[in-house]
Amino acid sequence: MSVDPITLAIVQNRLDHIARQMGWVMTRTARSPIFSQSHDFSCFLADRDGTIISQADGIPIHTGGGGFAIRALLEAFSGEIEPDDVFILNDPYEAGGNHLPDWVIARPIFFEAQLVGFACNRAHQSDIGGGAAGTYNAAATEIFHEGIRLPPLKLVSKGALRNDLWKLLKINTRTPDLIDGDLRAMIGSTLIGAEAVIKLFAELGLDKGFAAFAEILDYADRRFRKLISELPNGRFEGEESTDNDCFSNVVTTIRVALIVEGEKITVDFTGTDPEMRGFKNSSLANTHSAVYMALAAYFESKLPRNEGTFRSVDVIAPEGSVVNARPPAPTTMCTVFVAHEVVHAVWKALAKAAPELACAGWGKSIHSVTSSTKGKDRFVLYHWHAMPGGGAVSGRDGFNQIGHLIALGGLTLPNVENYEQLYPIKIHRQEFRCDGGGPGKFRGGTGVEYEADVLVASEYSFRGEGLETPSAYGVNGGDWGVAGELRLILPNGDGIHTPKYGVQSFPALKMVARSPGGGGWGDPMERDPLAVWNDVRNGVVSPAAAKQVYGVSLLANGLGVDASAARRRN
Amino acid sequence: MLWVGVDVGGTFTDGVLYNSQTKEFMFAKVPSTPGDPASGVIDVIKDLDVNMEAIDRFVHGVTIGTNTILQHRGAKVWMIVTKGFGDVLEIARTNRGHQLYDIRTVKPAPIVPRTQSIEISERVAYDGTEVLELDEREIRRVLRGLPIAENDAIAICFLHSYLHPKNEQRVAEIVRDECPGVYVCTSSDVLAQFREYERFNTTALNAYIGPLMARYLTNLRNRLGERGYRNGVFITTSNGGSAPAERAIRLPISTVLSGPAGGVAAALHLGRDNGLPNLITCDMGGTSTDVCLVTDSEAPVTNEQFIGGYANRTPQIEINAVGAGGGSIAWLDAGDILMVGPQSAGANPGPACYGQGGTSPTVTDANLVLNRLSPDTSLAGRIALDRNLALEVLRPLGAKLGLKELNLADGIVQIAVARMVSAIKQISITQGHDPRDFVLCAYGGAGPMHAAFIADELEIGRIIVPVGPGNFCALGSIISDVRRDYVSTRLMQTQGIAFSLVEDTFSQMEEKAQSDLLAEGIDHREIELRRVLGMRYVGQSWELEVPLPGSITSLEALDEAFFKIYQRRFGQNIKAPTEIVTFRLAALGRGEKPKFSKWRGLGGLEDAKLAERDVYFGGSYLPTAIYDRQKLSAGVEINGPAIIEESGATTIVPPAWRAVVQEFGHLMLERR
Repeated sequence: MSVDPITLAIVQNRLDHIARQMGWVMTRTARSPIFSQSHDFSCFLADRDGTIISQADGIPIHTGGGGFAIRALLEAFSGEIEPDDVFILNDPYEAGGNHLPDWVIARPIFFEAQLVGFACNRAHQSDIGGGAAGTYNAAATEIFHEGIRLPPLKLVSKGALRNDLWKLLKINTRTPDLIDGDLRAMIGSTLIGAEAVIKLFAELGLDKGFAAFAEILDYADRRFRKLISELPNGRFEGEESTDNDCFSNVVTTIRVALIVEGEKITVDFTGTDPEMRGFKNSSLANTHSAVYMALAAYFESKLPRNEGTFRSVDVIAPEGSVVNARPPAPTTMCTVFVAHEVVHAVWKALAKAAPELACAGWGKSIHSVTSSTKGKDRFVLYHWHAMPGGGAVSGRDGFNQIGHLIALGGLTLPNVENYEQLYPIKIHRQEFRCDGGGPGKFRGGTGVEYEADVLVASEYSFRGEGLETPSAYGVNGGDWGVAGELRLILPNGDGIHTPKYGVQSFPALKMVARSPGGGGWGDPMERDPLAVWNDVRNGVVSPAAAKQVYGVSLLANGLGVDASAARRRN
Repeated sequence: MLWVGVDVGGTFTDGVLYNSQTKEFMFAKVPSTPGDPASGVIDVIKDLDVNMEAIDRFVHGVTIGTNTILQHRGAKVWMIVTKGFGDVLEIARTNRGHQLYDIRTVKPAPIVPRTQSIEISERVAYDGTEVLELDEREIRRVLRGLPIAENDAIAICFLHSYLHPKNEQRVAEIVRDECPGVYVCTSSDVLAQFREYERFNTTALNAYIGPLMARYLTNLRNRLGERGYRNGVFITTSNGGSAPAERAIRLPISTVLSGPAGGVAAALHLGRDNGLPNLITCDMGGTSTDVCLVTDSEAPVTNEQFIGGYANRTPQIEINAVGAGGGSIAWLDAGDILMVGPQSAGANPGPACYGQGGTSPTVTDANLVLNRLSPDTSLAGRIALDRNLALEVLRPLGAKLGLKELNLADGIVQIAVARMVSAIKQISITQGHDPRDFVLCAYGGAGPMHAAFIADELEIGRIIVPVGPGNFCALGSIISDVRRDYVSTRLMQTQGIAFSLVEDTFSQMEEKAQSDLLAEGIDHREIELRRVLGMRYVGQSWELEVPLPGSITSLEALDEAFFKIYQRRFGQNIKAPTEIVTFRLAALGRGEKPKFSKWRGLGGLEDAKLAERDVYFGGSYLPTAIYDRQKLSAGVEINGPAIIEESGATTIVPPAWRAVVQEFGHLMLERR
């Protein structure tokens, strides 16, 4: 059965709208700020085979992972999926999860007694047990240290909540009330999604509905193939390293080759280093997501958000490597690091295939997660106000402050006023750094200076990937962004040396951080002198750097710059 | 009573006069005067032929605020801000809107550049207690060291000021003292609501447009006064209501959707009177087209809008705008692809066919060449149209594309239609609404001319063209209620408080609202107050709006109301502790509303027929009857192709369509 183009466009938009509506419901009903303010979740719809047909809502690093989860669930519950069931899962090795904190809720959708698809969401929980509050146990060396593992489980059976299972989940978390509220928000949002899909099928009829789903995936496939066909054929390589395994300075390198043949692209990680001791190992679902988001962001923002888009992309991830870890390797950090490194490696390879589109690297985050109690409730606070700067592209400077690369800025930073209401914290400063951004014709983002009093004794989970070593590469002649810094200062004035990763407890103290800058694009000597002058006036580039790095001197009267070509080159 | 409504658009200034005794409307239209918009206002009132001294009420839609923001020509704004937070506007919570994957987007520069962001020592804690006192001498010293000019504006933005506005208020006093005459506003006055980025940015926008708005409205008021007008000047506001000029000067950010919101207010009125609860409004003027999706006779109101990429949290009707209007210029891009808009020929020089020196082909020129616009009648009372001039400017563009003028003209109209269609898709299909379930409400000078073509693309079956479509926004301004929204953030858990605390908080707000509206000249019998609470479960981050009618008198009943709304909205609820976050009060001055009287046509179809001419439809000229709308009686049916002309607008009925004159004179177009 064929579907006319107008109906198809309407169905695609409807599905995207449903996914966004689910996300809206999640934000509005969730209990923990990580959902409700920062949108660390995604909502998606899958067809009856577990292929994602819409993921209009959500953070980019969830782009490709959902399908793995639904397919694992279909396999585990073959023949036992009934109307009004709701499933839950998280395990990266058993259930197509990306990492343990992201729980997937999946609701099968039935129309005329037939399974037509799934309404789902994947969301980062506030706490899932394990070795540290707040899901990030930087000391983990096995997945068992990271929290509760869930294979595909039936949480609601024919409309009846399994109370035994609900209790099991709640006693395995330090924040049972938050989990309770958040899971209800997740389940509620899938109900709204499912009802909307049923309404769509009621309008289209079963056959036309299925046909539209299939055509939506085919159309996305055609769009992406056309993009790939415009690249030169060949093999393009890129690599990116991390300087630590969370315990010591061990370099782990991700090596990727993009092989372009006509309309097909193979992303081959053969040669990538083996899995590491710490919790940055990537699951297969997460590696796919990182590759998909790297491609989508590099080429075209308007590509359809479904799995059809990436049908022509083959990912080869050798088992036992850091991009396809084996149990019991720990993986919790992987959705940020090494996902960040995977994206950087793919972008570096792409820069060889399509250099004019090159993207400079984004700063790696440094913020800690602190946890304590307020009254009788446990809270987990992400110091997100210390997020890093982003990389430049041709035509614009890097964002001076932006969230994790893997969210492409989709994690909304919290308001100070709201944070101070919720937590025992007082924030003193969140402002751009001077000389933090990687120099370039287009400058990297500056990063920020962050200063806050943590008013109660707390447990700190350090995740300082962007500390000490510059993390945002420059491209086409641009330079690295500056590395991050973190200091903890006790009330008596003593400074504490903090590890890059680890879990430690401290009394009330002052946290002072400088987040890393983003990488620059192009030769800084070619930067528009007026832009340099503006940067100096705005205090984000020092007069000394303007002169030495950009070849632009301030006039003695302070009212302008001297940027004659001869001087710049000398 | 004599009411006058005026709407200033980018191209035309429209006026409407309503006499409540005779229930008669008069319409007028003059070219806008962008250099001095008040002149156009005076001109159009003159054309309405009314004695200024006799006017009881004057309501005005202004676009100055919007244009100022979109064209980046607002005042130089200095922001005085709590130390450590000078970059709040640029960080903007890192939000990049819906273009997540488009990492190449350029974010708009912050309204206040870093060099004008002035940090001072002061600090209020989250519970409203002052932890660092203001240093008045520091403020004076800082102010004296800054090159603040008379036309600059100052926005005062402190953390937690929604709870403790004193520091902002004190600094405002000092600013008025040190920099007399400079426009100043505080974040606690503009939007007394927590979440600093949103509050600060709304305040910065307010300051950005404040000085221009103040100059314009003061000037207009004086000029109306000189001509004998004795009553208040009211401005249409973005929430579909209206406000006296004093308030619009203090809070200009609440007028950014002034004109279009007036049109939607009129469409709601029209829909209610005619049993059409679901409408897509399509307001096509000279410069742009505004569309809005009305369901169940309610216009969507949002306080999460952006304008030109900047967060604006004042409540406003949700309207989507596209830069395509009658004056939109046709041009070729780098790849010789034909484009239409967003540049507009505006009022001056206007389209080439106006003969005022316009050299670029516009949508209006194209319509004239297609014979859809009559060369004999004039568009805005005094402009005669010259078809030869239109042909002349189309020729070079056509030559470049290898197209005859006629085919080029057809293409220009098609492209303009496609752009409006995509604006409508964004608010319908994208939001899960099927446009086929709606009636298109077409107004604005160019709306009825393109409506049927838009409807064809969207498969919409019915179009309503109201009486006086070219002056519909002006009509909306006199239909709107005086309205003022109050908001106050007061975080309180509902367990363990007395209901009287809620009652008292609202009473205080209501007392202020009453006195504000009385001061704005509203009769106390006309004041209507609506209480709404922003509530959530304890620990959540987003509030749900819960109306609080007088029937709710206990916290239990309040919780019940919250649970019910929560269930309806989100498909679930639990009986868990709740908290109140915001108190919202809408204060309305519900005046008398204009009524349409029964349409008095002057005769049969033949009497109304003006002429017959060949009009271009779908590839060829078809003989087409031209009618005078004023002469068509109610109940008359006209089969397309036909053209219905009136002062200020032209309605096109293509071959596949039929038009029926309704009881109150509105035209209903139906696909045959």
